[in-house]
This record gives sequence, structure tokens and C-alpha cells, in this order.
Amino acid sequence: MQPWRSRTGRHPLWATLVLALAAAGCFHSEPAAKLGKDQRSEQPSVVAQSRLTAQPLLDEAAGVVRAYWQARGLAFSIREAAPLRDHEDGAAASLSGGVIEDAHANGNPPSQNLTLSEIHVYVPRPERFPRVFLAAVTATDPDTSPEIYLVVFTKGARQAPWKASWWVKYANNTPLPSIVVDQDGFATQLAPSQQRRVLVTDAVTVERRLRDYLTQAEETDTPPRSGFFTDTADTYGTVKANEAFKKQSAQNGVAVGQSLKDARLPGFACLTRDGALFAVTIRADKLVGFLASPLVQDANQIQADRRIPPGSYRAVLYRYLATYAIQVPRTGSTDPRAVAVASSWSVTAVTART
Amino acid sequence: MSVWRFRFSLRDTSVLSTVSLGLIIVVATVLCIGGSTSRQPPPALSPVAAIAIVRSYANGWARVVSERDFTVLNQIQSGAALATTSAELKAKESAGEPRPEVPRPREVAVAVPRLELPPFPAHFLAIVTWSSRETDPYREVLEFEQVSRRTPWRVWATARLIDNIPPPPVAIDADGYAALVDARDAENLRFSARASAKLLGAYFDDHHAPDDPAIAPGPFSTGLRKQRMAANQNFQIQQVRQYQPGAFRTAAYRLSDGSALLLLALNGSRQVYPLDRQVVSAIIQRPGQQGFGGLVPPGTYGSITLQMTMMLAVTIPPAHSTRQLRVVARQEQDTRATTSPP
Repeated sequence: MQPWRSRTGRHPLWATLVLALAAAGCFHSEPAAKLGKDQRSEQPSVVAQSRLTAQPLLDEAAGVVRAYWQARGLAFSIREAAPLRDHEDGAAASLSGGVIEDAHANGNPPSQNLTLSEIHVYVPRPERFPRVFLAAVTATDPDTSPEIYLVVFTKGARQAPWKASWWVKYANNTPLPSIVVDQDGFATQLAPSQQRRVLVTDAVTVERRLRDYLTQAEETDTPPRSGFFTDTADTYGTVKANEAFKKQSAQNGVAVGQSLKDARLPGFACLTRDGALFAVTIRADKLVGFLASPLVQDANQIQADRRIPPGSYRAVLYRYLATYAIQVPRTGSTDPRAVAVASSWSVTAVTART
Repeated sequence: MSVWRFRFSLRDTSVLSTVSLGLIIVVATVLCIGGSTSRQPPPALSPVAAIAIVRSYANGWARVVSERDFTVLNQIQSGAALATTSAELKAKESAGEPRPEVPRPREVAVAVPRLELPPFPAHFLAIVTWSSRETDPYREVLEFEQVSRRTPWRVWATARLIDNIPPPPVAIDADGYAALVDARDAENLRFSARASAKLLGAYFDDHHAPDDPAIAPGPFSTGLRKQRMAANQNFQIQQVRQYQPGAFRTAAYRLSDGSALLLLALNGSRQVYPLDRQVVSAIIQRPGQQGFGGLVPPGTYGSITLQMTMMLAVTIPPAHSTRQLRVVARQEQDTRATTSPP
């Protein structure tokens, strides 16, 4: 930012031209406020402030993301959920809680404290509460590949704080969804009635069809193809891996089955150039039955997940929560299938049965 | 070359100069006929032809992956790549893993150098983004090699690039060709190819100190080492690795930041054993072979020793630079397993 400012200071004519172009709306094609590492402590630019009505809200949203990420980094690195209590609720809290509890119980190496390297925020017009915005966050660490997360933040009432209510780790080496922003810099959140008008389907149907597909996969020996979803790592890839795991487990006398549930958590839909991006959440109960011989958890809890106390068991129930980012095409699209572009899951409870 | 000769003939008029000029012309002509000028050697193949070779490789690779076709594999890979793919296919077959969906090359970029001396084996580099119906896209760097004019192009080394960052920027000249840097000694680069392989072999060896200031942090260097150390600290099953330099090239591809990209292989072994036999008495490989992979048959063992090949793409800083060696791509595969009784 500094070189730009000094240049405009020396050349008022150039600065005037830039401001005039901005006023004429020449920069309106920029998709969203992108705030790099060097821009964290200052306003993006004079030009940006003058052209976007949404700018103060984008700045506020970026601040919310930074505070959240700091708390998240601390919580994941010390394997304690406490630092996240004021920053997360809903699916995000369950998902993070599961990851942290698993790491804490099983002594998994602490997660890296990934620092933010890039934030994109997409803020709908503030018309009513609850208010919602979406962030695409790139986080890096010298020891890991950069990771990209989509995070939905919600503010329930005027006095309530912003909290992360949903997150998903985005697919590797894949461009971010092309979210549409209007000339004032606002994204468009689609209400269920708008979804059915503009898109081939709505969020409720997508969530149900996803559960149906995963349930169908449970009932067949070969991974099914979905007519509703395009085959991707998060749909076809997942059910194929599950089938293989079930077959290998069966060789060891272990039966694995899961049932899918409605998570009863609010979704989110944001207008994109090709349709919309949906944030959906599902729950799954995975029952592992030890048919050949019981699972014997030794005194040192080496044999199985350390959330299972020492003892002999015939079955273990794992409760999962999974978030999915799904792109849905517009009405009249040549390919009407939905595309799952990302998913994240964690085990939120483990119950062993004798 | 013709411009260069023409300049001399205009300037020199004396007898001595004429004789010298004649000698120069003869030498230059011989060099040209032999194709051995170091200033602008002719290309081995065009970038367009190289892309066609990569596409043909992708078709063969699709058959190898989906049908586990070893005949095709031998036609498209050699060296370290062939050894690791063969072992991987055998392990998957043994463990009864389902055949993966065919990966398709979504993006292909090539860096084709001008002809090297001697002209064979000839090489070029490809960066391919693969996608399939069951995986996220991933990027791979592959080095193709043609041993002689009559043999096919084969991939001798391949490694997966770090996710979500742009691939290394190979410098391409105005004609579309890549420049090679001689990596036989440290004249052009901070580390020679041999020194780089030795450095990395020692770096990944669990018997050595975990840090080396010559190697840059990254997911495939510090991250990998920390991950392995943490696993040994947290779990009863210990895995201790050691490596030696394997195959490497002595020519690297010039990058736009002045450093150079080199592909190399390390040969290694890993010993797997319980930390405390009072707590875990033996290693159990169950019938599904999920624990230690398809190369280890089901059974109860005192320890397992796995031979491994690690292929790496590294960027080496220029000579006199204080920058570090950086691992930008990695692929590692168990190639053989031996077991000892409990």
C-alpha cells in the first residue's frame, strides 16, 4: 500500500484520474474484497473506500475473520476448545470440537497454527437479522501446504457477536467459487423461495438428496453413480472409499454400517456466476460391529480410539458431523447436476457397547 | 553462426588475418556439422511435440491405473518411476484395493531444453494437473527421457507438487525453449546434483539431527520430519528411516528466479517395531492389510523392514547465493518388505 500512496502524493493528476475512473464505476468487476497479509492493519485503499458502499462492512467482516482465526489457531494448537467458545456455534462448533477432542484424546500431533495469508469476504446487504457473511480463507504455515477454508459467519441479533457457524476445507488445486457481488460490493444471499426460482433446486433438497445418495451407497455392494450429483471426491470418491473400507473390515470379522441423519442446522446459499454455492450439514451414525471377536481395549488404550475406556466390546457407535459445500447450477443450465466441491467431517461422540 | 562468420570476413584483410579467419571458419563449420555448439544447440523436439508425448503418456497411464497393465507400464516408465509404480500396483492388488478411476490430464505444461551433449539420453520436463471422478485435482512434475533415437520417451522420475501453490516457474526463452544448468559441480549452483542428493539423504535420515540450515522449511522437508518425529513420540509402533542418494540428473532446469529445478531419487529403508514389548508385544498385520500395506502379508511379526524409493523435485539456488535448497515435490513408495518373527 505504501508505494501507491506515495505515487499518488507526487502525481495529483494521476490520483484524480484514478478517482474519476472509480467514480465512473470502472472497477466494479472486482469480485470481492481481497485483503492480503500486508493490508491487515489499514484500509484497503482510497479508491476502494470511495467506490464500494459495502467497504465498511467488508472491513468489519475481515476483522471478524482475523479474530476468529487467531482463536482457532490457539484452540487447535493446544488441543482445547475453550478459546473458540466466543467465536463458534452451530456446525462449526461441533466440527472443531470433534477434531480437537479426537486430537486431545488420542494424542494426535497438535495441529499447525496456520496463519492467514489471504482473506476474501462476501457480505450480503444488511437487511435483517440473523446477518450472515461468507469468507474464503487461505491459511499457511512453513511446514504444511496452504489450506483453503470456506467459513460462514452469523450474527443473530444487533447486540450478538459474530460467530463462525459453519466451515469446510476447500478442495485442493481448485479455483474458488465465482461469487457474484453487485456494484456496491454486496454478495447475494438466496432465500429458499429465491433458490427455487433461480436455481435447479434448493438447499433443503440438496441436503436430502445427499443423504439419500449416501444411504443408497450403504445398501449396495458397488458404489452407485448419482444422477443428481456430478461424481467428485466428496460424493463418488467418498462412497467408493467407504465400500473398500467395509470390504477390508469384513475380512477382519468387523461389520461397518452407517445411517444418515438430518443435522437440523441452518444452511446458507450465495449467488455465484453459474448458480449458487450451498453450505449444508449432515449427521451420520457409524456402527462398527465386532462379529468374529470382541474389541478388547487394553489398559493403555492402545488397541482403539482412546475415547473408548478399557474393556471388552461388541460394538462401537461413532457419531459424525459433516459439512459440504455444493455448487448448484441455475435453472436451464445444460448440466443440471449439483457438484460437491468440498467436505469436512469430525467424530463428535464415541459410544462403546458391550 | 553465419552472421558471426560474415563479420570476420569484412574486417580482416591481412594475410595473417585471412589464415586465422580460414581456421576459424573451418573450426566453426566442423562444430556446426557436429551439432556441438554450446551457444544455440538445435532443439531435440518442439514443445508441441512434447505435449503430444505427455498426452500419449497420459493415455498409457490411464491403462496402467485402471487395468494394472504392467506391459504398458514398462513402455511408458523407467528407472525410479517404474520401480515405485510397479511396487505400488502390486501392493494394491495384494491388498484387494479397488481400481481407481482413470485420472485425466486437466492441464499440461512442458519445459523442453535444446539438445544436450551428448544428444542422448534426451530429456524434457512436464507439469501435469490430474483430475478424476474420485479425487481432488493434484499436480505432478514428471521428467521424460529418451535413451536413443530409436527408443520411446519414458518417464524416469515423477513427484507430486505442493498443493495450492503455483508450480515452479521454469524460465522459457523467446523461442519457447527451457535452459539447462550444469549441476555436475557447484560452479553454477550452490549445490551440485550429487551434493543435493547427499544432503537430502542425510536430512531425511532419522538417525541425524532434524534440522539443516541449508534446507528450506516446507511440507516436504521440515513438515515431513516433524510429522514423523511426532508419530514416533505419540505412538507405540516406531518407524525409523534411513536414506542414501539414488539416481539423479546432472542437468537442472533454469527457473525464472535464477535457481534451478532438479529431479532426484533417494533409496531408503524403514524399520518398523514396537517401542515397548511389554505394552505391544508384536506387530499384527490383519487380513485386510490395512495397517502396513499390501507388500506385508497378514501375520504377526517382531519387526518389519521396508525398502523405499523417494523421488523429489528440488530447487537449488544459484552459486554464491545464501538461499536454501527447497523440496517442491515428493513421491515415496515402499518397494519391498521383509519380516522377522516375534
